[in-house]
Amino acid sequence: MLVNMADEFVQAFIETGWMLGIATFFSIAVGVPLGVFLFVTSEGMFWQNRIVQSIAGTTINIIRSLPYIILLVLLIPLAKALLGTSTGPTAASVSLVFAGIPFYARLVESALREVDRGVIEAAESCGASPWRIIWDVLLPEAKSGMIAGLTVTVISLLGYSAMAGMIGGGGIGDLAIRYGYHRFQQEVMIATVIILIIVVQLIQSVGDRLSKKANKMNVT
Amino acid sequence: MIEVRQVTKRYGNVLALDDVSVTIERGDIFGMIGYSGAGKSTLLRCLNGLEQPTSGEVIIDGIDITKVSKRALRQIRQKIGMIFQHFHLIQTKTVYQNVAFSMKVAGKSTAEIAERVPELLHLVGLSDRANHYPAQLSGGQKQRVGIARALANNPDILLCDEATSALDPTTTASILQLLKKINEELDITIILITHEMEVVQTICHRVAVMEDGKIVEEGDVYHIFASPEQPLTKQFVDTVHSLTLPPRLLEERTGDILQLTFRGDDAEQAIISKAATRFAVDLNILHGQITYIQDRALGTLIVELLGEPKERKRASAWLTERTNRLEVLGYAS
Repeated sequence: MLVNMADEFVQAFIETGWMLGIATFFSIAVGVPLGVFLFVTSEGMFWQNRIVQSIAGTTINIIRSLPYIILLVLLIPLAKALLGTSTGPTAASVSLVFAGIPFYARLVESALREVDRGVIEAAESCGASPWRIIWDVLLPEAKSGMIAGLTVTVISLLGYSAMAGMIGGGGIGDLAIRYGYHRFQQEVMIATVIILIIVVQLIQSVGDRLSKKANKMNVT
Repeated sequence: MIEVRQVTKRYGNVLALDDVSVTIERGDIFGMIGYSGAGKSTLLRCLNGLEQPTSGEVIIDGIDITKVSKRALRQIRQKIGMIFQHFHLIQTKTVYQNVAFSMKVAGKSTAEIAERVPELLHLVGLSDRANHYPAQLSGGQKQRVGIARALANNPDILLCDEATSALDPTTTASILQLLKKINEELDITIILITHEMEVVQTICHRVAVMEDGKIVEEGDVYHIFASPEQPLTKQFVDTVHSLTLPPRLLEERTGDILQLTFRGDDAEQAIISKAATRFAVDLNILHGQITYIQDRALGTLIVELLGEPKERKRASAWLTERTNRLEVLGYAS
């Protein structure tokens, strides 16, 4: 039975990879600058700005307070406007991107908060400009924490992507629901669960390794 | 030359600096001492604009740095190095990259950086540590990296924010020697804040004593040690130069107990023995200490003066004239 379904599994795997790839790409591309922006406009930082802070903060909190399943439905019209279709893995990626960006931006922001204020001040005392400090101090010093945050983000997105089946997004989670749940084929369900466990473990261990490598606090 | 004119700094209701004025000459090693919360750190940070005074002027080589644009301030900061108690090195950069960072800030080319960084590391004695990360260094080595980073752009001024407070005594001594060398060989004005009078004694030329956001006493270090006026200054001087007699000695005394302070070349022994031959008194030395400040001796002696009351009085008066300071710790019972 499972062997007959090999093609389906490969297909699901590709779909999940595609959705995660798009969502992760945009989470980094938009989430990192947004997280940096949130941090440098916070109290006591060089571009401190209370109004900008509260607008950006509130927007992020609103998006983050929506359950993913709601976000998915809410963004169907947007997916249609952008892509011409509201079904398929690419369309499902739109809502994943919207879920991933604020999630990761907050994690980037908190990784930046861990950077020693004194180090930022020392850079300022050298005469460094804000951009120089962002590029040469904040990002390298927060890199390890940002990688750890990205690991959490990707794993969350993997979980969300299972719901993408609702709008025909496909993927591993969708396979589990369609065969395992609707058709009572337990072996499929178990197989997908095992695959998901392995994938999550893999993401976590790669993330941990990269994060540790970026951290120079404990080098010997 | 650095001129601080009537600088006041408020944080809400807290007055961190209260109308402070001070002038620091080029080439000096100027110390600011005080307990925590005295405002010394705030004052130091006003000197490179890390802190903006609420009112007043900070004039460095003719420019009031409280009035210049952010961009101009960054230019000025390249000529004012700063080192910190907790070093504040970039943890994810090597020793080389940390020093190179401050040159990159100043827009130096990779070639210039490659030439200058090894020179700086040689100056601070860390040539063999260029590719180490800060976490692999000891406290003293980290501070040396901090110093190399601060000197990278050939500054005129070096600000030291409790630079030795996190270091052990031996390392403190070596860092202070390095600062002294930098001051003498590179002609860099050094302004340091500390709560340890020993640091002031070891390298400072002038010192300002701070309390509650004010400078309560300021002057030449030797002079401050020899004749401290404010109670707080005396407290600080006592931490490195003070004599304490066991209470038993004071209780069992039969004569007057005098504390004499001598400055510089005063021939201590001669004065004591002359007093003994000139008057019908005996002098019994109970305790003594000589402290060297900038290679000048400052001596303190506690003696017991024995003899008839009239003779003791005359001898006392005679000694008062010939010593820097005479304090009577106790009269004969």
